[in-house]
Amino acid sequence: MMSADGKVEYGVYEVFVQKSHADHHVHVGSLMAPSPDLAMQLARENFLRRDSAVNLWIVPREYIYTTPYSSDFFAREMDRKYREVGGYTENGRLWRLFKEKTLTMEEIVSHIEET
Amino acid sequence: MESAEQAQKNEAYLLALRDLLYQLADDELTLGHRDSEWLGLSPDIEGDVAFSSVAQDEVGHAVFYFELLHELGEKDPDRLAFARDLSERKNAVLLERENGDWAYSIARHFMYDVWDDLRLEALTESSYVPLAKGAIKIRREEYYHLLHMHSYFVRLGQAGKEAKKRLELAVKAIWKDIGGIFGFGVYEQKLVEFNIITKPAEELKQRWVKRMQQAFAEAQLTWPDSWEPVQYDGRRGEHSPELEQLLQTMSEVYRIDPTARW
Repeated sequence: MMSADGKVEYGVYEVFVQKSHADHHVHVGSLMAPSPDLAMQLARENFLRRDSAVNLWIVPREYIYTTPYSSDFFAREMDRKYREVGGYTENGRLWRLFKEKTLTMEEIVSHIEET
Repeated sequence: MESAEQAQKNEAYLLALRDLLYQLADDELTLGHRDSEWLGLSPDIEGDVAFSSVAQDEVGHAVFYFELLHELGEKDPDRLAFARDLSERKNAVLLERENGDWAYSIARHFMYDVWDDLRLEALTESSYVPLAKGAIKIRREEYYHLLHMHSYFVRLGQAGKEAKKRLELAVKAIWKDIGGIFGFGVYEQKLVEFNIITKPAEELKQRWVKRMQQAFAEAQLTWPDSWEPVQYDGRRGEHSPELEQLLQTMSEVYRIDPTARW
């Protein structure tokens, strides 16, 4: 990039490392470099000095679309508890007790209503 | 020669092999130490960490060569690294020079890496099997140093203005010492005869010149005339006061208590 006074400015690259073929690429940090090929080399020396990996992404920061920090985008206005899975956590244990006939269906229903 | 035991039975072979291993180890250790001196001083933090990472690779390679020497009956790697006198050091003088300018460090590293690549290639089929095996691995790692230094070398040249001027000054300074990196020392003939290294130094030097001329063209630099013979021949244990200073610094902690367990 060329700035107003004619100096070449380094671009910022976000670095993503994939540790194994079964993993997602995980963001590990960012760096500044004058070109994508140098960004890739610098990412290798800066972020893979100790850890091993199978793949590396570098993404010029200007290609990342982002939300603003203060906006209603993430607002949680109403009760959303019904979307959560909290009611299911006990299922395994209750089902087992029901099968062992130490619990009736009515008791299970009342247990769920309590939680 | 499959093993250290076999090599030790042939005295002429052993002498030549040991001398070469010292050259390889000392080259890597000395340059690795100089690289590490960039920690906290590079023009940007990315380059700073990269130089340190390269430094650790180089020192790691030195450890490998020192271990081979130890198997051949030399002292333990720490003593070889820290407790040998100046006159026993076999590194090329170019590598012991102070870092000075960043352009100098990049250009020196690049020129050495190209030489090291050619030398390692000629070692991948060495008659000394443990060395051949190591050379294959080390060369894979060095590939990335070479790529890194080449990228910066070309960019500094292409950038023109101050960057190019500094690079030209660096080349001029390097040219005084460059003759010292070629060659395999006093046992050169024997090393090739025994097939410890499979190509004569002269052939590698010619290939180095070809590759370097290409890089100079890419970087838009003029190829300088041939170099003068060197003032000190590091391969024979002749060194500049700059190595004296380097060894003082490098072995400062070791000398406090050489018997300390780490």
